[in-house]
Amino acid sequence: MGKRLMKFQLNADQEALAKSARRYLDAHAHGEAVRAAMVSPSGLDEGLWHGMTQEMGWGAVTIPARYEGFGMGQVALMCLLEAMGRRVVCSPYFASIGLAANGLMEGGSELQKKTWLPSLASGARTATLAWQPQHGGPEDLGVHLARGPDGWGLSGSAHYVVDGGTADLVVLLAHGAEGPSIVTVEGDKTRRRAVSTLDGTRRLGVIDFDGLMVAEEAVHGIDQAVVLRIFDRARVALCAEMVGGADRCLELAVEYAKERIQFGRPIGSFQAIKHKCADLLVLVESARSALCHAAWAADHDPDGFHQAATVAKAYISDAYFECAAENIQIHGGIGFTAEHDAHLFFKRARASAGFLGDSAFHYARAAGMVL
Amino acid sequence: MDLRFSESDEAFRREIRDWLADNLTGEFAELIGRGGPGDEHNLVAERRRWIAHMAAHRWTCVGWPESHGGRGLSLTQQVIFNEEYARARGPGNLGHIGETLLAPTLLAYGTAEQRERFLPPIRVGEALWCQGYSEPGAGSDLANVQTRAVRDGDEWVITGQKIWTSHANWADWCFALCRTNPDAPKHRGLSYILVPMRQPGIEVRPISQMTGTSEFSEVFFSEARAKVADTVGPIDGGWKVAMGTLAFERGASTLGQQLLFENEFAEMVAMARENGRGEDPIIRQRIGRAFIELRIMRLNALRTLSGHESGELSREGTINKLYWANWHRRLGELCMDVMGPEAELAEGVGHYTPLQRLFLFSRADTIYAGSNQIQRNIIGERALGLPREPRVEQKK
Repeated sequence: MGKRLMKFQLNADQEALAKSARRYLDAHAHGEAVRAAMVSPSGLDEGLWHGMTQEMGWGAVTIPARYEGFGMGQVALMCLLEAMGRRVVCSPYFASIGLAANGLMEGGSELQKKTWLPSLASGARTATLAWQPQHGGPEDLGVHLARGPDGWGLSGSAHYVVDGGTADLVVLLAHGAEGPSIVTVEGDKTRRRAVSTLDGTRRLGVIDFDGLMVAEEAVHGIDQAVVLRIFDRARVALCAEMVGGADRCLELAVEYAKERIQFGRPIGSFQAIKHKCADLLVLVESARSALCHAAWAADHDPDGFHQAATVAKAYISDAYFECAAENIQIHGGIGFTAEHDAHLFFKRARASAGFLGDSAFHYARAAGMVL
Repeated sequence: MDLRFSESDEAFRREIRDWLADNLTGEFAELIGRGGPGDEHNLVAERRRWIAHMAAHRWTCVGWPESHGGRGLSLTQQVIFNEEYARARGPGNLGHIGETLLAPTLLAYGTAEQRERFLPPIRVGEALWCQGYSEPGAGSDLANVQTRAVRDGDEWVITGQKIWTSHANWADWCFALCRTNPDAPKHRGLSYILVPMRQPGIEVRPISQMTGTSEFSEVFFSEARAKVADTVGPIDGGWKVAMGTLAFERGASTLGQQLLFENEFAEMVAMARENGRGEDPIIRQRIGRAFIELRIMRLNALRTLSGHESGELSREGTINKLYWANWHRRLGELCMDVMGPEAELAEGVGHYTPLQRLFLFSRADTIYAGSNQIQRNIIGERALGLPREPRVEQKK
């Protein structure tokens, strides 16, 4: 009789990667490191990026072997991003690998992949994914392409670009004459500026593409379905960070509830606090179930992936925010101070909830799947 | 990570699906979709016959070891079985308390003789069981059970009252938690006793509920008799046994339910499509959210099982009851809003549409089998390790 089981557990390689990522970031991405990076000129912890890529080889994890990566897939990426989310790291990793490399792997031409993926794998370059207009929906494209005498002319600008002020490579999704295209542009060839953000741990950029010309081989036409898959992969990458963050918020809240004494007993023995923590565990574990399924589906279930990503982003957006918010509440006054990390998670949770479509966007999308 | 069902699991799915399609026909066709929550008291004799028919083809108690007439199915295959049963809208299982609560308890704590005597009649639907735990003064505080069992030679003489007993009106047997040592601390003076229901010392009074139906009853014991040999586990050691049953209840409860919920959800969506309420933006949002959370309910259940099978202690396993009960209650509310003004119309007390019944019955979901508040204590204390509430010393 078949006793082989559905397995949510990580395999040995993934498990080892997750463990080493946690250990490494516990040592190198503590609260002071994050705070120092937040006020640095780039807003990024460059030493940590160097360590992640040169020492740990994390840039290469998802990138296929023929582009000089390890080809471990999206579940492995999930393990790394979750560990990073627990530490609200100020790192180009999410934009470079979660957004740009994933975008190129999903939709780039062979030439684009060959040209750029190896340097993303090694960490020699950072990258990002750009598409959004200043006003519009989360999947609208803000930049247009028009054929010029030798190559393509771009018009319009992209907003809310993660690390848009610093990324070496910009992977742009733009409207072409015959549908969407994926365009690869070096960041310093564009007019751009970093904008400071409510979430001080992650900066955004505005990139003005007006008048920029790019060569024929930098533009690759793709189907609308591919654009959607690029967004869905980006969502799952973001969800991994968010689950890490939510889990950490719950952990901090529970630790505090065990040690903070009021009325002669730990506040966690009061049901008012205990039940709040219990509700957060429901959110965290359900978020994790949704995330695991979506990360797995990215590589193994192409037909189910879109729904899985929709489910994950909808649920996890609200779950992380709730955990981050209640972590402040459970900590009381200290949770409201700048000194405590609680606000870093709270602000990151808010930023992540809105990015790539909030829960309302995804609820509506899910309704469209059933109605 | 691998979230596919294996080839042999898929083959098993086809086998049970085909069998149900071939057998829920003829005299059993009228049972399709019947006997669920709010309808459990109907078609009892017919549903007993259905159990016997399933048993003749070894399709009852499929999770039991083969040595006891089960199929020894893996948890994954039990999920598949439950899913297919719900998909086929098989009738509510009258035997589920015996099958999923008492049997695992006997397998874990019973004697060989007890298993020999009690398991076979459960498998063929001859013995239906009910659970005698809650009392007027022992709800969430279950250890406060006051029903007394006093020893008289080889027999217990039982006096007291149970309440909220599902299936009591037709059950043949009851597993009852009784106080056998009133002098011991309250958790240490209880025994888990198997009591025959059809005897002069037992009176069942159905409780008329807000649904207009009576799934739950009060059971009065006036010098009812049970054999001392039918005590499961040690005398005065019944608390641990009872807690074991509750663990089975909380563990198994999510599985088949998921698909029942999917049927209800589909019915609500069909109505929203038909009456146009699905175009209301707020209703749409709520339907989208309900769908997303239903998908996650399934993933949570599968993940819990996957943890069980690999022998891991799972903290995610503690969240399932709270999650589904809350979801189901919100679904009930959504159903009424989708129905619109017609939600208010009924043919009479108790004559409700399935969605109205769902709306009303789901208020019980967050109370029975460990209320939401008890679930949060369990999650807080067992999964998160938060300190217990200090106990208030009680005067004797």
